[in-house]
Amino acid sequence: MLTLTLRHRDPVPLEAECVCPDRLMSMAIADIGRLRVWHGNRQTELAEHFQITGDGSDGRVRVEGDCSRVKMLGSGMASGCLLIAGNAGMHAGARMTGGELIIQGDAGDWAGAEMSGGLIRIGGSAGNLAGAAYRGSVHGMKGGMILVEGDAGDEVGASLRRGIIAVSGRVGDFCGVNAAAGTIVVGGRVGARAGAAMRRATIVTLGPAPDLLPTFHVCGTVSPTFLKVLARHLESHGFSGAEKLKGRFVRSCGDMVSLGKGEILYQAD
Amino acid sequence: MIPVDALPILDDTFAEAFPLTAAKVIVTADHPRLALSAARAATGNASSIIGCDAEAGIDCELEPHLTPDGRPGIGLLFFGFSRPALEKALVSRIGQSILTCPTTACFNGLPVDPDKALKVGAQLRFFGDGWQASKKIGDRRFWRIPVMDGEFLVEESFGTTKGVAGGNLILMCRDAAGGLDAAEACAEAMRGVPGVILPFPHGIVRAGSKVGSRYKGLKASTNTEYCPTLASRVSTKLPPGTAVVYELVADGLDLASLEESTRRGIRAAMDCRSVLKVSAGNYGGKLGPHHLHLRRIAGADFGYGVARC
Repeated sequence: MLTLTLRHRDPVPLEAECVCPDRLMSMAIADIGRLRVWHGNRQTELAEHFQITGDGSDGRVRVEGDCSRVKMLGSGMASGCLLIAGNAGMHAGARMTGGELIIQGDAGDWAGAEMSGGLIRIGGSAGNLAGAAYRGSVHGMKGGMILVEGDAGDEVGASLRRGIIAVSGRVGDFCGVNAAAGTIVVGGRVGARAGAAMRRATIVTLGPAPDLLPTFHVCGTVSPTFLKVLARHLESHGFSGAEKLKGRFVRSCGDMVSLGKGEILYQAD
Repeated sequence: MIPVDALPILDDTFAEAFPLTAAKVIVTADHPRLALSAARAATGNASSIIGCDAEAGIDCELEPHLTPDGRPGIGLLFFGFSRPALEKALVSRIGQSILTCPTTACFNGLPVDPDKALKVGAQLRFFGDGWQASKKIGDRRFWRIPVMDGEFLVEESFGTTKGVAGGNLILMCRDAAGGLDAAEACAEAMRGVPGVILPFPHGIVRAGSKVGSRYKGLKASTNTEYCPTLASRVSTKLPPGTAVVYELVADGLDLASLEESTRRGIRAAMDCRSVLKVSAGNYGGKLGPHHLHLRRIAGADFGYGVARC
């Protein structure tokens, strides 16, 4: 395993998109240290910011220290395992296509934005726009899975196209806004205007019934089989609270300002 | 006449088996009785590839913790001449017999090679008339089709493997009741092997066939050599005193499973006092590449079978 230990807690953000297991696994430590990273408006070498030890040939990288000001960790990664033993800054795992990104602390905004494969586990809370589309993009997350043990901010899964986002805690406003497909599971309260303009996606809330937009129409009480399959899948990844997915849900279809084939499911009892 | 206490003879012959494309389907439902009803309907009229679109049967019952949706389930095996033929049979059978049964869902039970997968849910989805929705969970895609009790969930693709069909045993028995008991015991033993089905009703065939007929256009006709009522009129393979003959036909996901099933069947049959002789059907080795030699499969430790016959 390759270990990168942050040398400082500089408030100036660092953009370290080169910290990906698949990129580092074939490189010598000296070469890794010479990788270029932006520190504010200045290009620097990675070794200025991280102490680098170990061997990444097994595809495993561990990052130590508070990286809440380090952006783009694991962005674009395609394989391997990146463990961040603390917080991660913005864009962690953005546009990743495979592998596993584990963030033991909190993640900043845009975690897993436009990712198309792989798994992101966030032990703490996620910021805004997890799994979302960047401004100007048609689609957000297009595959893979994001698991958040804590809460998540606004616009989780904005323009979601495919994939699963599961948040144990509560989420902010505009959850699943403009989503085309995919699934969002929320263990706690869902903020305002959930599913606004969504076309086909599913938002499942296991907490209190959400305040629905008037453009959502209740279509009965259901116990969808796919949620039972999803529960198994989430349980196999250690997601807490998945058992509740096997219960009965009120199905509210929308958003009728859009295609109207999306759904918000909230617990019937 | 063979004495009543004589031991059965294990014929020195082989069953001739051949490859067929196989698929495994898992059907689940809220209650085991519903899953079983759907399973029986989906595997109905699927005894022989000669006259049916597929050979099919129930492989095993599955406890809820073994099914994809955590509900009670049944594992089914289907065998067809080719992937297109099997795909057509699965779409028809799942669409008519599982989709229509209350609370059911339908899952693939084999690894999927995209180049060899059967598009089942991908075709059945159109029953949703535009209201179907897909969900991708892990690397598996499912289709949710709205139906009158909620949704029917079916997996998009089903994996295939090269199965082995045509395993068989022929029991020649001295009396009707004892012969039926022997055939039932034999069938029970054979279907106890995972990955093996006995596609005929109750697992037992009373109408074994030979290739061709004196009537033009008929592909198969009654196997006169094994009909006790014709024993004095035609060339016969029956030992004196044979009252009834039953055949056990088995298909397996692989040759090893089929051989194990055959071995268990031989042992069960040889324990039955009514059985005069245990044999097997073949086509002189011209049809299938797999030859299940009864004495080899029974094993060298098989005392009164190989050693005394």
